[in-house]
Amino acid sequence: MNINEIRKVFDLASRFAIVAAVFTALLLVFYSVIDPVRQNNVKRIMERKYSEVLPRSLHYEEKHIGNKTYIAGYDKNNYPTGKIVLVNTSSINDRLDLLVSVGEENKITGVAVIKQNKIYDILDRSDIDAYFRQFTGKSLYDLKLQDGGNDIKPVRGALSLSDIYFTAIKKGLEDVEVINALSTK
Amino acid sequence: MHYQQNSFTELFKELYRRIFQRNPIIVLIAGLCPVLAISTTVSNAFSMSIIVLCVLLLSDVTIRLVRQFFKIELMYFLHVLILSFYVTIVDLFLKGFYIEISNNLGIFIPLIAVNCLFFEQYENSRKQPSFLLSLFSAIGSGIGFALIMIFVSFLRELLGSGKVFEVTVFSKPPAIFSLAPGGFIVIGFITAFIAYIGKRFNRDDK
Repeated sequence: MNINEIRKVFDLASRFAIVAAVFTALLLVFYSVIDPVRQNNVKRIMERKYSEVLPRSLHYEEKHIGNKTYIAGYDKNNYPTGKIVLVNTSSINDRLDLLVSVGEENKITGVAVIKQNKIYDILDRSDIDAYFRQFTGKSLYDLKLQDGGNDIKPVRGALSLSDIYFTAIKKGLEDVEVINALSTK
Repeated sequence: MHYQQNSFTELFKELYRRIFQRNPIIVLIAGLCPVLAISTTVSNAFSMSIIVLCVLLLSDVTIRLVRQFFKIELMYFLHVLILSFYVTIVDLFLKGFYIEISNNLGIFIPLIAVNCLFFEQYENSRKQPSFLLSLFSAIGSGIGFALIMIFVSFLRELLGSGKVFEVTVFSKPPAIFSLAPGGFIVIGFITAFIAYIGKRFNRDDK
């Protein structure tokens, strides 16, 4: 490779690098403008989900205890109304993020899906909502009994998904139990 | 940049050619990935079509503006860079202002950057000396993509969920039309139908 060829390659590379740097700078500017709006959106969506699963609460506070994180809900007099835990389950081709909330008596007040595999979008939303409503008022003890019983009907046409939901909700209640045990110490 | 004079007839011929004769989905079979994955509802298809049209137009204009400073060897890299730039801008914009659309379309927004439709359009634009013809070609590709995408999604939403625009038309629909195989079936039938019509017209011309 002679000096002219090296110069040619260097010239091409430097031109490309300049254009890439300009586009990157533009993206950084755009990102710095959009990111606060995006974070605000995420916060707003999460708060809407919190109010769906723990409707009696007026404001929410993120708390950490041990290695667990949960959202504590409070009413207008600042009395605690319950706890919300985020359950993540994942397998090779599946991922589920689920909110499980319990009232002060440790019974489920609501369940909401935050993120799941898009394939489940084909299911009827009302069937899934009806499935989650069956959990309202249930405690961890009730769900442990359910392992051998059948008083919670699975989502129509989605037995394995119902099983994933059930396991995730049970895991959420177990997390709440650990949080309760840690907070009484 | 060449500012070649083009008559309206030429421009609209190019538009017609890109929408029907060289339609990216049913004729070129390019960019099928979002069509199969996103076309489960009309609203998703509509959003995706707008995004594709915007990115096609912006990337085509930008590449025309910057290509005079580059030699042919770098054009592909530059095209990918510009495409990725606009796709990232659109992705960020949707995450900021239209989070629902962003969540619905998911990974298929970033995947636009590697969509064959754009590479085909780039090849077409590279051979095209006229700026206006290239612009009309990009608009035609975008509209051609949108028409088929929306039509496919309309059929899939109707057959797969029994609903159109949240209005229930019939109960107990066959769920296969909401899945990717259903997308293949619908696109296959449309492609076959268009090919049949095309052949028949050509035969009549002869």
